[in-house]
Formats: sequence, structure tokens, C-alpha cells
Amino acid sequence: MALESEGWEQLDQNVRSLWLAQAGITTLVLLVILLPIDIFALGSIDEYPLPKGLVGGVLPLLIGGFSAVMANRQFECARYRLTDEDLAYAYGVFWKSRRFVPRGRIQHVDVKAGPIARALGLVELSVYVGGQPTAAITIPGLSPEIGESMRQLLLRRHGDRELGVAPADVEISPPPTQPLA
Amino acid sequence: MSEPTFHRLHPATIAIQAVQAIKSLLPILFISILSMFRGGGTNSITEMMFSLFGLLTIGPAIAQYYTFGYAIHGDNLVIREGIFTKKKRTIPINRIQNINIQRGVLHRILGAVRVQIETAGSAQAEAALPAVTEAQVDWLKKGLLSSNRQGDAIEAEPASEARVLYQASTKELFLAGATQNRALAIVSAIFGFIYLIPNWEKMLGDSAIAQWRAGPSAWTFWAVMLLLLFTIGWIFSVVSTFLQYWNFELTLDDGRLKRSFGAINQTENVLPIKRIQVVRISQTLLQRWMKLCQMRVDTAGSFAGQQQDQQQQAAAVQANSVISPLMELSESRRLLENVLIDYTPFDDGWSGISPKTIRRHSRTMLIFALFVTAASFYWLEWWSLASLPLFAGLGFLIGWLKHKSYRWNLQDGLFVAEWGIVSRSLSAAPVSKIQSVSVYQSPIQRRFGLSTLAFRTAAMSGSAAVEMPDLPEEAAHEIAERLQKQSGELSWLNPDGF
Repeated sequence: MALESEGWEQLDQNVRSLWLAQAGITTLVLLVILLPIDIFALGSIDEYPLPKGLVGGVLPLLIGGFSAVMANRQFECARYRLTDEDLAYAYGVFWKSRRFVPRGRIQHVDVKAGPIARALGLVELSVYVGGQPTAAITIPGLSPEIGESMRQLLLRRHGDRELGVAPADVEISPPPTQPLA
Repeated sequence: MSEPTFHRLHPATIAIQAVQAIKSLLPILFISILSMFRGGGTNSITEMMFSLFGLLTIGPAIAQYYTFGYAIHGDNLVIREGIFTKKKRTIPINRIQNINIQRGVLHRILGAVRVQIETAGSAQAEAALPAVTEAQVDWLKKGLLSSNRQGDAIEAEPASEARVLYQASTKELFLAGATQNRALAIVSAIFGFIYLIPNWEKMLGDSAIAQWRAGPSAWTFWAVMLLLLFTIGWIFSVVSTFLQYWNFELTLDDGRLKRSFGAINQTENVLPIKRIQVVRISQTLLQRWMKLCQMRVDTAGSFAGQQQDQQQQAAAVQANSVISPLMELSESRRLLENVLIDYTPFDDGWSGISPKTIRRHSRTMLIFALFVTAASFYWLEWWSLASLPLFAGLGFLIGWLKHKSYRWNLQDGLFVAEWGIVSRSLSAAPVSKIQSVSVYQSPIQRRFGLSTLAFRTAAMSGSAAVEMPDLPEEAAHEIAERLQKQSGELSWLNPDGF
């Protein structure tokens, strides 16, 4: 299904920088952990065939390089959509996912930003539904203005509804009897 | 307001909590004993560890007995606890949903009952009384349940009769244990255990058994051994099912499902029907042949998540959701009607999954086979190529069986999915319980234009509540949009979120 149409929005451009920075940090952390292990532990084995520091040095660089390359593809594949009925987020380069949360189901909304995201002018929006401890949808890389307006929109619709009472404007359409597919 | 008069727990609390603590400190005990053996006797360190162990187990248990108190004060249940940090929790009685009662082995020996008080809404605000007397349970039940369930107006008319929905007969319990796949797992466990016993071969010495094993018809030895182990595992499975579900009874009373079961560990609990998110019917291969099934429910905010230690929790999650250990498949529809809100008959209108699933599975297995071939070429040489048709054939078979057996049905507000090529499962979920809907696509699925449809309910579970793989991409998206739209429209039905 084409994502380019019908209100599917791209994330903020800056999210690529955020993911690049995260890839860089991952690489550094892996280097700090793996390089000493390679040099001191593996290197001290007498018949260890590879040169010292090759695995510990190259592996993190490969992982980091791969995530850096993927940052761009990830950005191309990520789209979100906010309609009167639902919030949807589509993502994934190889394994594609699309998740829909009906707006009436939203329990609470989080907007947060880490230090790097803040520096880049980005926020992350998480939407929670009933009974689940983790967020149903987490959309990274929104500009603070969009994040805030989305938060208010998402919560307002929920607040307007009188719970436990059928809203006057809701007509429950019977599902088509003919099965799809 | 006057201070409430607090009730003490059963004195058995001390013993019960101490045993609890011992269980959690078992590793320390193990290390102490080990070091004792290694050191060839006690020394100051092991003595210290033992006394620390005693202190850690008995100390908090005694302290809890003297500090824990509960009272019904006005319209509230008040619970006081804490040794250093004092905590007083007030639970409005009209928020209390139900009282779950458990009697473990130790509880029964000491004449005590474990009580869990469950409140509406969040699963966190619950109270557990580790051990109280039977008389106190009756008093609590009367004080907590009667007052909020029979208000002034309702008291005049008789409460609706409680109906027994299901009772496990001895035959059914036997079949439940006998047809479970558990036997195989137990066999492998015993096998592993025997393997771990060092020198078991030497223990046999030169006996007849050892000669048999070394003799010309050695294979009969292994066949008999395997059969023996299998029988032991099978008997174990039957016995454990009997103990677990003894006297299983399910009653429907005023929109609540009451369950009571257990021979040694007795459990009584209540599941409000409104909280049931998904009803699942499952059949092992044997049960499919015998037209039998087991029925379970996923509930939201269930007290299963509140167990003290993980082992207990896992057991509770498993047992907590079973509403029928075994029943005739033909009977299952009647029970389903009673426990599922928005039940609609779903005999017609089934749709299958895309036939492309056959090609997808063949392809997946072929790719897997390429790796196997490459990896085994060193040893098997050209023979390793044989894995290609083997795996491709297997993939084709799996795909074909899936195409034959997977199906789904969306009726008026009810989604039903059926799947499984060896054992068979059916899940029925009211659309009004759906919280979020997903469509997934793996790289190979994308190649064939297929997608997996999944949704979650408010029941706590690691994975999706219901999943249907390999639907045509367009159809998956169409159903997803339809489900989420309908779920959103019905959200007003669930004031507390589920």
C-alpha cells in the first residue's frame, strides 16, 4: 500500500542526524568494551589466528557503519498518520510494520526528548493504550511544535468523550457481511 | 474519625513467610552447604552464613506478623504494614472486584488461607493477606462483597441464581492429563537427569541389565527404556493434572466466572466476564483425534501478574486462565457463548490465508537449506546438496498444511482466528476489546505480497493477542483499518480502558 498518499507524513529531517549520532555512540561503546577484550583476553591465547584487535576493532565499526547507512533508509520508510479515528505509524526497512491505535483507546501520551534530540530540535511521542505496560506506538523525530500539537489533539478527543455512554455522533456501522480476500 | 481496630494475620504467617523466604534464599543455602562439604566441616564463615540465613528468613516473617494489620473501617478496607517504613493503604470497598482465595500445602496443614483482594481498574492497587483463618475469610467476604454487590434496592429481589457452567469429571481429568504433550517434555527431563548421574553404567555392574545393554539385541534395551520413560512421564502427567485440577468447577454468578479447583493447592477465584479479552480453545494432536479441547481466557488486569515470586507467577498465569481443563469440542461452543461478550455464531464466513503461503514457506526453507548446504559441505561434500530438495519439500508441506488449516472470521464485533498444523488453536476476541492493530511484513513476505495481521488487547501478554499470517497485503491492510475503526467506535463501552 502506498505510503506517499492520504495524509502519511514523513518524520523531521533531523531524525537522520539523531540516528547517525546514536550509531556513533553505539560504535564507541562497543569499541570500548570489545577492543580491550580482544587485545588482552583473546590476544593472550597462544594460537589465536587473527591479528590483535581485528575483531574487537572492525566488528564495532561494521555495526556502526551499517546503522549509519540504515539511518537514511529508515527515514525513507518511516511515516505517520493522524486522522479523526486513529494514529498510525509505519516503519521498518526489511521487516515492515504498521501499527494503528484507535484514538478512543488512548490512555495517555508521552512527549520526551533526550539530550541529543533536544539539541537537534526533536521530540519523541509515545502513545499508551489500556492494560499494556509499554507504548503501543512510539514516533521518534518530530519537531517540538508538531509533537505538542499532536499530544493536545490526541488527548482532547479522548477527553471530549463521555465514557461508558454511547456518543451521539457515533453510528456503529454493521461490518460488511461479505468477507474480504 | 476514630482509629480502626486492626486484625492480626493468622500466626501461621510466620511459618509461611519464612518458607517463602527460604525458597528465595535457596542459592545462599546451597553455597553454604557446599562450602561446608568442601571445607570438611563447619568453619566461622559457614556458621556466619547460616545465622545470616536464619535471620533473613525468620526475622522479616516475625516482623510482618507483628506489624501487618487489616480492618474494615467505614466504607474502606484499611491495611497497615511495614517494618521501618510504615504504610497504610485504604481501599474503598465499592472498588473491590473480588476476593481470590488460595490454600497451598502449608496453608492447609496450618489451617490458613491466602487472600488476594482485587480492585477494579489498575492491576497495581491490590492487597494480599498472606495467611488468615477460615473464619476471617468468611468475615472478609461478608464485609467486602455483600455490601457492594447488594445495594439497598437490589436486596429485596433475590440475586440471580448461580449457574454451573462446567464441572470436570474424573474421566475428563484423566483424558486431560493423558492427552497433553507434557509427557514428552517430562521424558526428556528424566533422560537428561539420568544422563547427569555420573557413572550410572558402572552402577549397573555386570548385572543382567548391563549384559542386555551390551548384548546383540541392544536396541531392544533402548526401546524398552524409552517406552518405560514415556510411561513414567505419561503417568506423571496424568497424576499432576489430577492434583492441579481436582474438583474443577466453573460457575457463572452475576456476570462473574467463579472457578475452584485443586487437590493440594486449592484455588478459588473470580473472573468478571467484562474483563475477558480473548477466549482460546486449544487442542493437542491427540485431542484433535478424540474431538476434545481445552479452554482458556486472557483477562485484563488479572491478579496473575501480582504473584510474589516468578515461579508462582508462571504457574498462576498458566492455571489462572484455564476455564476448562478438558471438554468435548462440541460442548465448547456452549461455554464460549456464556463467557464471551459480543458472541456471534461464526460457523459461516470463514476466510483462509493466501495460497502464496506455500511458495513463501518453500522459499524460506530453501534459503535455510542453502546455509545448511554451505555449512555441511566440508563434511558431507556433494551429499550436502541433498538438503536442498529435502528442506524445500518440507517447506512446501508446511506451507500447504498452513494454507489448509489457517483461517479467520470477522463477524458482528467478533474476530475469530484458527491455526495450527499439528496442535490446533482457536482464539475469539470481541472487536470492542482490541487496543491496537498491526500489519507486519518480512522481506520474503514482501516478495510474495503477503502480510501478517495482528492485534493486541488489554490482557498482559508478551506477544500479540491474535495473529494471522500470510494474508494478501491489500486485504491485511483493509481488515486492519476496519478493525481499528470499529474498535475506536466501540471504545466508549470500556470506561476503565478495557
